[in-house]
Amino acid sequence: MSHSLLTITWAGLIAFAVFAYVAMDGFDLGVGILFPFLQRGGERDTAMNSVAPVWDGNETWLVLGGGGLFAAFPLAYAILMPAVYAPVIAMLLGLVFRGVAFEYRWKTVRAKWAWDLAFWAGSTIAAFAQGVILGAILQGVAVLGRSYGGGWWDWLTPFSLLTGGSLVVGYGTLGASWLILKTEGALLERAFSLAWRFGVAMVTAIVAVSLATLSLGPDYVRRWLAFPTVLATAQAPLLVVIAAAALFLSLRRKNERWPFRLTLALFAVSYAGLAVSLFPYVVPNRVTIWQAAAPASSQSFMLVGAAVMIPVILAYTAYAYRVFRGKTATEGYH
Amino acid sequence: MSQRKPRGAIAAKGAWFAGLYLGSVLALAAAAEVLKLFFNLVLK
Repeated sequence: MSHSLLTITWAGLIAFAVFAYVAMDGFDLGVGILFPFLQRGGERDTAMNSVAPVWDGNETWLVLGGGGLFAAFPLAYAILMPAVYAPVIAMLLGLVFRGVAFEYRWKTVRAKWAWDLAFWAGSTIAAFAQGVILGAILQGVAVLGRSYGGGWWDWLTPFSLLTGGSLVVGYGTLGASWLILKTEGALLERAFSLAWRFGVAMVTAIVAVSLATLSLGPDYVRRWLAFPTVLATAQAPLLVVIAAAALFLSLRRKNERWPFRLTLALFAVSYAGLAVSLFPYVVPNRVTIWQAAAPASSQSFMLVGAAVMIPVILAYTAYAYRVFRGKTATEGYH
Repeated sequence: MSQRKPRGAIAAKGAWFAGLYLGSVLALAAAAEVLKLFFNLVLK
């Protein structure tokens, strides 16, 4: 396999891993984000039980995405990581807090409020930080030679705060539609109401981020709006309109399966939009995937491991979701 | 029992939706021209 094809393959694998992470950890982070809107006790117990069997497996994809970037595109990792150290640290601390909350909140009555707070704050901070990282990369990173040339706080801009907030409401919608899929009774009704409110916020956020991205520079305007490529790129907003309309229709009809699928569709279209904005760059307008690629020998060696491990991960993930399918009870997993 | 729709009706509906989709893409492409003018002015 040629080096160019290997590089494309690895870019595709990492893109797949990151989307798998967003889709899977997105809904369990979303359940944490929704915690303040759920009643103390039963509703929160059921919500947590609905993600308890799968949340840690979902985070496997983050390791694959981050580790894959380090191994297959070391130059991109070397430039991007120092640019977003602060939000990456915040994200990891957030993930630690919510991970610990999964175990400890069931062991206490007196301090349950503290672990509820840790679960909500950890989930929200992790989601917000991921959105900030995305925004910080999209808005461009200062490069000096083959390393990061900016400062500690360059990531902090109105645009990155917008993308951070947008991912929080996006994950919130995914969390609410997951709860629609997995719960019954009063919690199900609350989940429908939350999915509607967060869904409106998510669609507003998609529009806001799309327009804000275009305002970042003429390169983004050219990529999205130049003729004839606009005939292809115009399908992204059209698909967002179709998916959003179908989402709100399914919520109004109280359908319990489609809201989750349609929220995932909104994420998929937004993710494809991200590819339009970035490809073939991995550091916007500075470093392409081919410039950032590891030697062909390293990529080939790792591809053998990935070819074995990714099907294994997919298989055990599918098995876990199958075993824990259906509605979640209050006592459930814990 | 519900009657099965004739094939012609299904094809007509499919063509109508395809036309609506393509028309929407063209309308969005036209709107993109306006958006491009706006951003080219703003970003100068």
